[in-house]
Amino acid sequence: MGLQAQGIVKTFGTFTALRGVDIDIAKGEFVALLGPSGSGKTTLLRILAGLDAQDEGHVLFNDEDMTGRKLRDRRVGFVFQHYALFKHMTVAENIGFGLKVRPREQRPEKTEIKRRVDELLHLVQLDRLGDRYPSQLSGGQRQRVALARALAIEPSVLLLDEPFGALDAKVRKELRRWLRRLHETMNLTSIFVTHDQEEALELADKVVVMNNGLIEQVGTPEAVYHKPETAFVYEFLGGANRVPCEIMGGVVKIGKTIVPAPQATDKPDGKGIAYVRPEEITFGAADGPGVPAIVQHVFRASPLPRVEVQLVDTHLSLDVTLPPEVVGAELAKGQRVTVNFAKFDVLPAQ
Amino acid sequence: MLPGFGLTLGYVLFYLSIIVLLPLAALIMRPAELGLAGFFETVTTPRVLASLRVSFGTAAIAAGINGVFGLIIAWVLVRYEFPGKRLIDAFVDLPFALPTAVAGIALTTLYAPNGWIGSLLIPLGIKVAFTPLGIVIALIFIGLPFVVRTVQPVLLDFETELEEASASLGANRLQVFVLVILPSIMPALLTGIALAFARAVGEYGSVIFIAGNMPMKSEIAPLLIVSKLEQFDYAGAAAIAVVMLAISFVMLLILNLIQRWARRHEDNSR
Amino acid sequence: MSSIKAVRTNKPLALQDPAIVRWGLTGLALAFIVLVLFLPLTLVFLEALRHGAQAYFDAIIEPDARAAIQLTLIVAAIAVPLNVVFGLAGAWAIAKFEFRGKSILLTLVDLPFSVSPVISGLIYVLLYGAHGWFGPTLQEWGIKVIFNIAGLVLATIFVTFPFVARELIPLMQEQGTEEEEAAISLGAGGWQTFRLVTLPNVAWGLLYGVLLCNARAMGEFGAVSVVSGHIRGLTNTMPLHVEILYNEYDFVGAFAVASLLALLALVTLAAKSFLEWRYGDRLSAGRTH
Repeated sequence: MGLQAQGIVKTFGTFTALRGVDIDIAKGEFVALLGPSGSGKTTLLRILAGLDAQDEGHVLFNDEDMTGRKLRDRRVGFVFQHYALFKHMTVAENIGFGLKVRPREQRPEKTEIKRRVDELLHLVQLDRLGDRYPSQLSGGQRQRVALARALAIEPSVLLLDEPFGALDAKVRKELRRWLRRLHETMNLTSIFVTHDQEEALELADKVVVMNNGLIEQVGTPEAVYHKPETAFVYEFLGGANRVPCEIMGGVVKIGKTIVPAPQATDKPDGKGIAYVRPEEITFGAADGPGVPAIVQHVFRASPLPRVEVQLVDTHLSLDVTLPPEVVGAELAKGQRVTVNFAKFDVLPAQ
Repeated sequence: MLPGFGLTLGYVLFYLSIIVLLPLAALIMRPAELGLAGFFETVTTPRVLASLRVSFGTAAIAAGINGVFGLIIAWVLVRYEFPGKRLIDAFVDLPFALPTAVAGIALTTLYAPNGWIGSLLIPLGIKVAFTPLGIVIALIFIGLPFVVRTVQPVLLDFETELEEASASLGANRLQVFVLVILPSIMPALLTGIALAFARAVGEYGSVIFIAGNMPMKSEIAPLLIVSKLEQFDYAGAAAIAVVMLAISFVMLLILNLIQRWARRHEDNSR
Repeated sequence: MSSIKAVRTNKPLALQDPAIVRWGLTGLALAFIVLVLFLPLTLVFLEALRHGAQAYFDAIIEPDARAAIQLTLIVAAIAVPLNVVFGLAGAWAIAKFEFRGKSILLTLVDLPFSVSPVISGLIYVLLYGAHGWFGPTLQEWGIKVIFNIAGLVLATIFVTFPFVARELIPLMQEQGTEEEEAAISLGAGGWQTFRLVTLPNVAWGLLYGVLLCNARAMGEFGAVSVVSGHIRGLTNTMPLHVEILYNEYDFVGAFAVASLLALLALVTLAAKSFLEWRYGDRLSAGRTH
């Protein structure tokens, strides 16, 4: 099912959570709403689900306006961050809940409900746990029960709020892959909220980066990672270093050093910010070309050696990650070096 | 290790001994002078049985009514906004603070045949004051806050996500309440009802004015204890008291078991 | 597309009840509160003032009424401080230390809440009454407990002693022992630690407990009724005096004295609500009475 939001505005008291958000999701897409806390991503998800009412704007399901439509008529599968399982019901009762509460004329027979529940239990790989209570399950199992419960109503769209937020790292990785497969085999349209960029980039077809109640960028994971369009996306994705500079035609001036920057020719002259990812920085000899800097710390106890340097002119600290073949053994604290930017982007300073 | 353990515990044990343990021992041992047969004879006379029936019966009815209205009041106070809500909320505790004798004479005057409410009910053929119905009214008054104050915090803490989850799964409002909310607050509701009941069983001050105190009809067990005392029948009074305590104890025990059963699926990890 | 504004609300949609349910339940709750709580309270004041202010004041300053007021104040002035000391000592021992039999002790502290007031009085009659265990001996020595102020104090202590302890125990448990241990390690003595560290931490909770304890002490009826003997001017507390006047059909007198008790209740409620509102975070969380 296609799903659209148009001009969504939502305020809570004096706080504006969403300031005019448009989004267009095609059938079968797997979409991540990515942003820091307070960016409005969960609010948007809740408005799409019909859990909250927007102040302005429209939500369309297959071009049909859902404004004012009751939550239970929307047929949205919603998976809550903390699962919201019913503690006093067994796993099977939880999963069957959506079928049991249907109006009498639409309600399946008891045996049919049981069959569907068994099917779903099998789907989420909890075959023999139907009689357990939620308190007897692990976090990952609860998550899967919540999913099965949401899928039981054959939702037109599956919405997940921080689906892996409450799980530990290992379970999270497993469940991620499993969810991706589920999405594909069941032909779902899915939207999930996350603040974890790795999760968003790995799982989604389309990433919606949100900040401060607005959408910063929408695109494939490759596009948002490699071609960020705004300063926020640069900083939020990939942890780019933020280097204040002076834009002067085809070059930028960092401290006293002039660095060629053909990518900045179309930017207006004046103050700017260069964004450089830690892995795009290389070191040169102290008297070589590049921006002079002093090594502050070398961290070798990680998969990629990490170095913190301070620019001599501006006292700005930069994070650098070295390729694994460069062990960084020749670098020592206090050593003078130059840094070169293999790849960077420049935006005018606001 | 902090100091003062021996001193404070010693003092507490001493204080409890003279204020609670010694008098309770006297209560439990006193009926012994009646002998086992005498004890049973005393507590199974029709008048005693009738008074126990009145005390426990009216207390049960009042606790039930308080269960319903206490739940409604707690719900309204937690879920809805209306002017004066905070005042009303504070006012619910009135029965905790108002001396029972004051409540007793006020309710009696209110429900007497010539009282504000009593005069409205008489034409309908309903007599409240000086009947068991009057006792129920008094016990509703003193028991109400117990239910409200035990249900209210649980309702406040109730995860609204559960409501949203059930609504998103297609449940209507009534189904959400009956299938999801009610089971979650049931232990608290039962506790509140039990507290109201326990308090009502022993209540004296607010009841004796409105009850009419007719033996076999509207005489409560505590009043019978008082009249036995006035005749210096200490052993008889103590015998009734022991029976009352025993019944209350057993009921509270049963309730405890019900509660434990109702909470069996609660997650202890959170 | 027309730009209709959606309903402006911040309450999650799933939690909204239909207006008719909302108004219906609110109306029902308010009606019940008015009928059960508000009407009786109003009636107390109206009945007290039925024959005008003069009759009201006459009823209050009448000698037996004054004696009853005085006795009530004396009883409370003895019982409440004793229970404060007990509450503090009990909370210290129970909340700050681990020992066997703790839960039994807690049950004993709660006991008076589940005992009928009449039984609370009865147990002292069984001990100190004319036919009680110690009654005859005490009588020989010329000491009278029952039908005397001592009996009133004992019965009042019994019915009110959980209030302070029950507020302080959970509060002190929440606070743990770290601050006290820090004070001791810095060289403070036990008493200094209690006075300078523990007491300030529980001050509002203590006040809260005292408030409830005092309201019950002044208003107790059943327990004191059994041990009092109803001797006018001597062993009649205010609630007992209300009973006597009422049974003598002196309604203005009864309601006049009752109105003083009702005022006390209102002041208690106001102070209690203020404490909960202003210092709610410094009172114990698990509060039921």
